[in-house]
Amino acid sequence: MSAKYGHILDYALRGLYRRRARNLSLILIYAAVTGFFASVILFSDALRREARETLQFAPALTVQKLAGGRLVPQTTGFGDSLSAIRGVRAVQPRIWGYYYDSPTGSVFTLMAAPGGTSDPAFHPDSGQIVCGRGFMESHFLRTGDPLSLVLPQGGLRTFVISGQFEPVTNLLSYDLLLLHPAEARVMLGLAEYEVTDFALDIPNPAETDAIGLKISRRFPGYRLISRDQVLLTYEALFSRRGGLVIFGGLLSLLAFIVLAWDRASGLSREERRELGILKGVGWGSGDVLLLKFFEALTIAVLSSLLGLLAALIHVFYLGGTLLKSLLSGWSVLYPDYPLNYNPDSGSLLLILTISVLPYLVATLIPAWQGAVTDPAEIMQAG
Amino acid sequence: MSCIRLESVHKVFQKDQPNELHVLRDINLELPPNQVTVIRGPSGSGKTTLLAVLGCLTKPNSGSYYCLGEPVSRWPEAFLTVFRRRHIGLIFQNFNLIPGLSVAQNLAAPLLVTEMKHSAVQQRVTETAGLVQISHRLQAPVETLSGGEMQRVAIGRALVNQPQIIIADEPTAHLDSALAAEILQLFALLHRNGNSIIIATHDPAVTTHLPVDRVFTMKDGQLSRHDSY
Repeated sequence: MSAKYGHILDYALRGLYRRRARNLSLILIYAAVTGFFASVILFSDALRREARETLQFAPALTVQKLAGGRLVPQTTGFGDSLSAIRGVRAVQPRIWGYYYDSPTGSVFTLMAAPGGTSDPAFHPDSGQIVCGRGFMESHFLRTGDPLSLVLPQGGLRTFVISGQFEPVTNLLSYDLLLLHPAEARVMLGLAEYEVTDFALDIPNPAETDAIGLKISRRFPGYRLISRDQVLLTYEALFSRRGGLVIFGGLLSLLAFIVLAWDRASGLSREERRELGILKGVGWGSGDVLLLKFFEALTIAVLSSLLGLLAALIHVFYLGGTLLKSLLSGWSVLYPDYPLNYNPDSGSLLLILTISVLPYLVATLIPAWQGAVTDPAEIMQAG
Repeated sequence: MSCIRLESVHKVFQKDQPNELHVLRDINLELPPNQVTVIRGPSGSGKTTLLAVLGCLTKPNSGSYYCLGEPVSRWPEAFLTVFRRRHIGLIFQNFNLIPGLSVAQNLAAPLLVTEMKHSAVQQRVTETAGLVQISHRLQAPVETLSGGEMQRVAIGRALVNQPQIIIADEPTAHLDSALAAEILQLFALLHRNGNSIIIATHDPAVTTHLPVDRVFTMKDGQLSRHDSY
């Protein structure tokens, strides 16, 4: 860097320090607004990523029976009909539902141990239960502790906690309670021959739609959910929610712009006088413009980084406390789950760009006004 | 070669508007180098505007201005800025120091837009502070200085680029007579060092402390020469 640029940058930083009370308040407000928008973007991104990772483990196609628009149990024998369809490698009957936990006011997912896996963690014996981290932490439980759950018809059933999930993704297992199939049926009020739905293993993803079409023609009244469809729904849902929150935040952004404009555009009398003096002692318009640019850049970058840091802490350390109710779980009271820290570098760059650029643009005109200050004015200043 | 030459210079503010102000009228002036020139006149007579033109802070509306042989009145602002930085030191009314900065930082202000290294800037500031006898207050904020010290800093800032021409607007206006004498002795030193000095002042003490070569009077935007103060 040329010595001149270094001198001007140094002068700009000293100038900001001299007016620190004013600049500090601006930086704090700027950082708060940036932090809010960054939180929305990071939170939405994290939810979408969680959803994508969760769906890696989802079946290619899920077949559910509806009656009056609601999910109803199916008989296990229906699985044989599905197995007979060409292109379906395996059919996995699934037993699952929700368990409302009154002490925490949360809804947990209750599921029977799936077949087709040899992992003992997924096979609790009768009288045992494997819990997700969310449930364990919210009840201060450890492996080996007894756990009593309320039966649908009333009364309690006590299990021994045989293990805790080590989550690949929190969205997948954080709120999960895994039981022996027979006990899961009891807890969900299902008969011995009933299951919730069927998960289909389709080795060739290209055949999924065709198989789905075949099932819907052959068995009307069944709902088919493909993995891609769920993925798209999640993407659209979280993006739309993010959009709504950002839209709501536009009002505060507007307020910030007004404030920033007021701060940045109103060259105070002292600043104007200082620029006049500088021009009088030999600073050119370009030098003054550079000075104001360095000042604006410092404020914008510092505020944006502070806001981004606050957003990272908010989303990944504090669990997005302020946004969670807006961006996830509108209709069902899920337990809290932490988001995995893995922010997308593209998103970080986007946040910095949309946060820094508008301020720089907003300060262009006042910077120009300062730069073209008539140095002769300072001769007249009495 | 003359140091400064003005030919039929006019300066008009708010030109072609109802409140048009004709501040300089047909100014002709030729000053040889290394002279002390005094311009006097009542307030509002146009002294300060004349100094602004001479200091390349503003351009005349018509007429020509040659400074050190260069036709500066025809130049764009960017060229004037560089020329002013290199050749002209300006001392404003009321000192016009930058508050919040130290003496050293105020002295260094004109050098910050040059390619001088930090160490060279510091050295030049130290030398200049010695010349204007303010070395003992280098790190002091300018708000804490006395009037005489502020004027020394203002003079030092005008000198730090080592210009040939020093232009001062009422340099003793806010000083008591003892301090004014000290400041004028400083100007005498600069004159001995080879600088051309142009001072606009009401203060008669200027002629007693300075070897004034020429005295001009401004009245209603017109300049006339006097042989004595």
